[in-house]
Amino acid sequence: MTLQSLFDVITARIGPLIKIFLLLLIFLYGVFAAVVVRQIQLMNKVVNEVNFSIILFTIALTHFMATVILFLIALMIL
Amino acid sequence: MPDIFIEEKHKMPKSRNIMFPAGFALHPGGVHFDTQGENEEIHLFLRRHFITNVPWILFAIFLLIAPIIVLPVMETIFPFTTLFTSQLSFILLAFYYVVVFGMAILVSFINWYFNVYIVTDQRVVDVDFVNVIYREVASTRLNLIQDVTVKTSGVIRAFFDYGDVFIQTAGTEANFDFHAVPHPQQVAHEIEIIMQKARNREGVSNLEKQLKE
Repeated sequence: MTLQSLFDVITARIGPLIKIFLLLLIFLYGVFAAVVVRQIQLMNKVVNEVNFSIILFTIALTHFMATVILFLIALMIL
Repeated sequence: MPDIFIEEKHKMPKSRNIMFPAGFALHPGGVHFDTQGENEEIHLFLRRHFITNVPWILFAIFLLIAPIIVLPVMETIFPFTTLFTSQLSFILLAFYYVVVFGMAILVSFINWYFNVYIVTDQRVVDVDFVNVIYREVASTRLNLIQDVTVKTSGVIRAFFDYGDVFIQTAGTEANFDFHAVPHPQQVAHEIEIIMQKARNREGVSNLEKQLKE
């Protein structure tokens, strides 16, 4: 068996593992992003700046949605 | 006969809503906090000076531009990356930028934004947003404040006029530390003015009570 074919065998076996690992990582990060959104929502009740609080919440929500979309894309194309 | 024995009423400047997160706001408009009383007015709304955000901003910029520099030489440094499909590379790069935005930028910003120090006409409130899963809110009444100390040290702090204000309270109440706030001398001065007014109000109400008795 040549080195290249050995390499091919190894990557064929660990390829799916890498994909599952990456999906799990994105999922866990999505949980973190959700926690950030919730924390901002709660903190906006503690300290509320009428003009900026909604902007900050929107940015955090957009970040969370981007993570969700990334997860779905990764699920489809990987 | 001119009115010379009547105390001049302190004219409160008209409050304007804060449009952008401020480090120092006197009589801010459009700001409320959770336990604010109905007749309680915010006199000072403080955060750490914006210059304290420069380290994480620079780090975030470095992380954002790092792929542009590293990617062309990635195959030389990490030969196994030649095995990555274009889809995997795209997902990894997108994930990298999402993580940089979330952890390096958003979390750092909210750490600065939600760490506030509030001085009202009745008390001092310290909101400590330590991290995403831990926060602390402490408050003390103005009549329990015994001492206000200002400390400014270092070239950068002197240049940008920011420093620490230490508020010592009586008894078992916790002390309040305002770290890296803009215009610390003015902050201490404003606190002392508010404390004096609170004492005057207390003195008047005690006098009224005695007269009624």
